[in-house]
Amino acid sequence: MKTNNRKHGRGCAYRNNCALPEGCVFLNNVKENTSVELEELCSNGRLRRKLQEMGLTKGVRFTVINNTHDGPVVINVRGSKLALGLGMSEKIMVKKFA
Amino acid sequence: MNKINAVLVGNPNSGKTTLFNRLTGSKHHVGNWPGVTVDKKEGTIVYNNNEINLVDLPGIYSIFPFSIEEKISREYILENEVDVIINIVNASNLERNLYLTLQLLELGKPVILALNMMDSVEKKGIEINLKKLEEELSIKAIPIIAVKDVGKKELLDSITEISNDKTDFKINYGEHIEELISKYMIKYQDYDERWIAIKTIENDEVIKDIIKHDFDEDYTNQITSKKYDYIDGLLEKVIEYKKSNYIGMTDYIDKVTTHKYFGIPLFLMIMAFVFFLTFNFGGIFVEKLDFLFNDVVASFVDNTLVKMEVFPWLRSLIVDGIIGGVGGVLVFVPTIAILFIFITILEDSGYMARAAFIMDKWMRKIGLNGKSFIPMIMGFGCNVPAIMSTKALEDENDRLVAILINPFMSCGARLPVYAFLSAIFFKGYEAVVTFSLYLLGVLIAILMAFIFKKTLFKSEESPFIMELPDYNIPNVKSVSIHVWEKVKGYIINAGTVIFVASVLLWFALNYNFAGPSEFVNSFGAMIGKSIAPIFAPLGFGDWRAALTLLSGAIAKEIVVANMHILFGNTMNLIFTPLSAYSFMVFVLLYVPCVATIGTIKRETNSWKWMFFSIFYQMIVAWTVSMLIYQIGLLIF
Repeated sequence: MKTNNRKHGRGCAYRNNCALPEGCVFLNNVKENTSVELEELCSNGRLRRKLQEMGLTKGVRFTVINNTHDGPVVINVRGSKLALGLGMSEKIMVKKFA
Repeated sequence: MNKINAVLVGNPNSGKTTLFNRLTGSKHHVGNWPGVTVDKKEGTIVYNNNEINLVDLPGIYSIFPFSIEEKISREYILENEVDVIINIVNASNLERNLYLTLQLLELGKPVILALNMMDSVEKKGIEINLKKLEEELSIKAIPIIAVKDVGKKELLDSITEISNDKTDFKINYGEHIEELISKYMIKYQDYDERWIAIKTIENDEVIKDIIKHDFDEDYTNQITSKKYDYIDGLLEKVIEYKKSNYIGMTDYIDKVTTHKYFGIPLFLMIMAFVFFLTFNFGGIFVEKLDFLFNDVVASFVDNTLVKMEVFPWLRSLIVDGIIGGVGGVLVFVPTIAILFIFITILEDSGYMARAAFIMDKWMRKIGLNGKSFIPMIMGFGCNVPAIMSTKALEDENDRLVAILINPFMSCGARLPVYAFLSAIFFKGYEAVVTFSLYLLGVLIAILMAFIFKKTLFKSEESPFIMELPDYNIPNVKSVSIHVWEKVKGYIINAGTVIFVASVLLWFALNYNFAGPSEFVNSFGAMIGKSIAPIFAPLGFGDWRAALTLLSGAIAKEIVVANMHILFGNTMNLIFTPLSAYSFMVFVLLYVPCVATIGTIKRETNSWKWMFFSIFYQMIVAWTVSMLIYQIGLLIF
């Protein structure tokens, strides 16, 4: 059986989409043209590091510019466009801001 | 003469390759990094009594070793006497690009910043205060436009003027981390002490072997964040936006290319367009060249040799063996060149990353991710670089699957076989028939990937993270350099491997143990006859077809060369349209060429997977061709 820890890795205590902190969603559920703030990366080790090095550090604000392909998204973060597969977007917890 | 060792480092899509080619001209050679198949490009520039040895490192985002490319780059910089690092950055996207710059600065080696694409900076209405930037980073910053050779002289000047003084550049990581840094500053070889300390705190895998300590992951997060914060602060000081709401072409194009409904049809249309253009446009040249080789050259040489009273066997060897074989391959040079032009344009334009994005959802259904799609497309050109490009895949299992299915993507060398056979058996429908073969290859690749991921290579997570670079109109010079390299390889192959194979085949067909013989009693016939029964259920149990396939394992274009020699104009007697199609399917699916096999061996670093790939492809090829032929017999 898949355990939750394996799916979301170290640093994330949230199961799927329930019991998320108020106002938080995973990136794959964010609508297009929404600006969000990065709350937590639910991934561990190297992957987490990779995302951080690509500019997805805690608290960074970015815009979702494409989310119409059932999972993979394109975001505009720190001046460049990044495509993230579903495997990534469902592990990035964000908070909307007005 | 003063010798300077320089390395070129930069993000992918920063124009690094262009700058390298422009700086070194044709005076560079491409080799391999020890142990891996990443291209190592090295060139020498003589400038003002200086000899600059320039090494082009792979395009990287970070010197943290995530990928083989990053590992190579980092090791090279750390372990070699590097006098200066030339860090090329896309000046219109400094925020992302300067991250690598900061990492390089922390290494404590001299760095020169080459700010590329200054023209698009201007277009975007960005103004960079270069003086201020130089001051803040305490390095030289040279504005350049690599494709237009702008700033080349200034860059070379600053390389030759570089001093070996260490920069005193430092980022303040905050009280707590700074305290840790000062605690872990140790002398180790000639590495920068502060760098060692930072890497220690980041639990760097390589440094861990030197100092054993397990720090909280949060420190890494803080250090990375601080670097980006530093960049934010820096850019605020040096950059001014003149146009507030600049929306570039890229955003408009992306609206279509990554559109929910239009994205995939557009991609298919592009591929179909590439395919039909290659085929129809290339076909014009094929006919003309075929006439040139087989009628003009062959009869001229034949007549000359008759006049010179050369032995008939030598005449036959030259005309039938060499001109027939090598010429049969050379006629397809234009077709292959056109195909490579399109593939290179697709790669250079930035579209490939979009294709990977829109295909992510579908690739996930077979257990891979969007990134694995790019090597598949590149396979249409040549499987060798395509298999090498799988290095970009982070997951080892995904990578193995991508390598194993790649040979099913029909490469340029197989195109001549389809062109040759379909012109005989499917006149008027050549393009459709050939397209169906490409499609079949893709379907088999997908099916096999699915099976592999379900059985041999189960893995859950396959990360897909990829920058979508700004679209870029491919530069004529860059594309032609690239295409010429490929076409040159094909021509050299025709002159060497195909030449030898043609000569050997000619001898095999004209001799046996007793000396000169008829075709049907020759060595070749003996070999062919012994394996031909295997192919009988596939519709081509003829010994000549079998012999062709055997030699085609060296390189697929040999199949065409051999068919010229073996069959002449008697193809219709041996093949029916159905068996010809079944034959083409077999050529599509059976073992790739020796070059591909060698690449599979190197990339998987395993004999086991190499033999596995040969073996399973034979089985797949045989099974599919057999099914097509047998089912076809029932229908037609």
